[in-house]
Amino acid sequence: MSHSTPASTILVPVDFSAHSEEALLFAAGLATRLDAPLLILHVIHDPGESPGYYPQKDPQHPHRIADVAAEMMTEFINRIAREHPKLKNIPHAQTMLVTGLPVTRILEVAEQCSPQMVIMGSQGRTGLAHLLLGSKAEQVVRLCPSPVTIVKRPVSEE
Amino acid sequence: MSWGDMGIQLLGGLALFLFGMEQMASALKSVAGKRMKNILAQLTANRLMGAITGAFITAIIQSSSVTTVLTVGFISAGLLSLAQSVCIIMGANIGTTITAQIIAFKITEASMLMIALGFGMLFFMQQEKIKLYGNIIMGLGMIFFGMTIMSSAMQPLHDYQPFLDLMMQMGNPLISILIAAAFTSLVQSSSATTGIIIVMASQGFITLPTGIALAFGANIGTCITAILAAIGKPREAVRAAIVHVLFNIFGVLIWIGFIDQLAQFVTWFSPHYETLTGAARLAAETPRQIANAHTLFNIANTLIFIGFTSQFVRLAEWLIPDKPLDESRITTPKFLDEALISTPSLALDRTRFEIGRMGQQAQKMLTQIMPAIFTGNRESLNRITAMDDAIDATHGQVITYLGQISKQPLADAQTQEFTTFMEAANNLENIGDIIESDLAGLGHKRLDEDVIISKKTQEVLINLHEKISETVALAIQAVTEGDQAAAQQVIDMKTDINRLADAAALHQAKRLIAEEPKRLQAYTIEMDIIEKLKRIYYFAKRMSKATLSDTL
Repeated sequence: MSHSTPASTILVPVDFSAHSEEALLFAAGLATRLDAPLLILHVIHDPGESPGYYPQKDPQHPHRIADVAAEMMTEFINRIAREHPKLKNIPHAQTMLVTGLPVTRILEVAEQCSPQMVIMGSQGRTGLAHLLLGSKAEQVVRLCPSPVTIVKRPVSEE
Repeated sequence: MSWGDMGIQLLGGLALFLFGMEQMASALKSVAGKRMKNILAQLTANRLMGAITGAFITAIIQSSSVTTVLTVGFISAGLLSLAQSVCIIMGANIGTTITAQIIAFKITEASMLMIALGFGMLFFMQQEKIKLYGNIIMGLGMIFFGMTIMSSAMQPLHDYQPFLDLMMQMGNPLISILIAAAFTSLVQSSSATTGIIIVMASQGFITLPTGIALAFGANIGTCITAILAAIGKPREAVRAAIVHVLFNIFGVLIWIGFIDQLAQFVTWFSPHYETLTGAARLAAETPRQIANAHTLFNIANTLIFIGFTSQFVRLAEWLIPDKPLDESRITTPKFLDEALISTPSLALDRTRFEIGRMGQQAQKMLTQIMPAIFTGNRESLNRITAMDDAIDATHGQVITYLGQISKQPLADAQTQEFTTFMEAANNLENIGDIIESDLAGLGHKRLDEDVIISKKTQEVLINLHEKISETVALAIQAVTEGDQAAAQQVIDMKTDINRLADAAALHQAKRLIAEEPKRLQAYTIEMDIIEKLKRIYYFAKRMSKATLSDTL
């Protein structure tokens, strides 16, 4: 665990979705203005409701899920850095991959790194989906020791 | 027949039955192990495909416990997720019912023929594949022969009232479920329990509802193997075992009140023997009815629960929370998974990955050693020396793991792969040792004797070192990717290496007469470096040769 993470760090948990992309863009912009380091976290977890979140490119030669996740993380960051060249802190951001349950891990990382803020996206589940699956962002807001900002994707893009 | 004789016959029959199952499963794993890995690896998001895969694999290897243990192993190795595994586990319960279906055919008369045929194939045929099929047939024959012996041992019980009274007690489904669950956890095979249930049914000792309740108990008892396999494994793997338990217990709970209805239904569609009456008819019809009820119940459960896989996952995640973060960080990849040892093709794959990791460590040491010898301080040399500890530790683990694999029956190709990996692990360890003790020792000697290695000499040695590093990288590639061309390239580079080593030695000889302080000490160190680098090439070449002989 990176205990040496500066206290002013902005922690961005991502799941490579459009929502977390929006959160990362917002966080990168804010980190630039505040001159704060960026810590991008991905919790490796294959969700029960949609297994196969980490697809194997070559099923004949399967890779470890953690390796696939690491590759997806690199591709995700590289793509965003390419599409948003002005956000120069994204390619240099510290990244972290941990295996486990997303909410538990995000809270643990937040507790150990003490970031000045956690910024994350939200899928905005409502109704039955919310009842059955809950909201990770909502749980993080309730339990995180650091301030949490939730970034919603503009409705037009959803 | 005395009680002692009966007990011995029963135990002997059971031992033959279990040995036959073990022999058959082991041969089936050798035949299908590699294919199973590919099948599991191709799983993605499709739940139905997952269940079909689980059923198919289990039908082949004849054990839902082994499928779950395999799944737990795949999860531990990080190749499969809990979410993907749930459907496989559900399907495994269907696959395991195939054993009861085969046993219910009661082809006990053919058991001796099967044993003789299997034996013939095993001992008189040369082809490895035919020998394996011989093992399967002989194993199946022994299963049926074991059943015949158990059946004949039970004959006297027909007239023994206390036993018949005990069987009456089994009419209580709860008692039957508990007895079958306890027995299954003891023998760690639900197929063995269902086999015995069918033997008892064929003797007319138990009714269909009792047989169904006993089969329910077998479904619960079989979970113990997965639980045992998951001990000490990552959380995801433990959760998979828990899902197996939850699924099997819930499945029994929803059916426990409908045993009679299930019995009526299977009686309706199973074959009838109208010409027989009484116990004879019961004995003829009940085995197939039990097998059908077992299959039907497991198919129905999978269909009922397949829509709730995410709920099973969430319940297992809730029951087994994550370990604190530091313990589960992914900084220490570990490939050697004990759960896979019983399936050599998978275990050898894991070994290949671990050797790749060992190779990376050796390459890292090799890259850092030359600057440390030329200009480094003691700290940098000690750092490189310490890196060998990791290689030694990995070497020890790989050798132990390979030792365990060697106890399993291996196909010819697997034996060759085994030899290549053993050779590679030993050679990489030797390379690590040369860097750790010899080359780092030369660095210390340079510091002790306060020798300076000239820039020109450094260039000559670096040329040789780069070429040698290239051969080590190629040799590792040859082993980890089975790249024959890379292996051949390492061997073909011998002339180049010798030329560079000779040129370096000639350069040293010329420098020997140079007017420099401590020229002789410097010469000794430099010549030793050349010798040690050549020795590293020797080990790279041995690794490559082992890979090439792999294909001979």
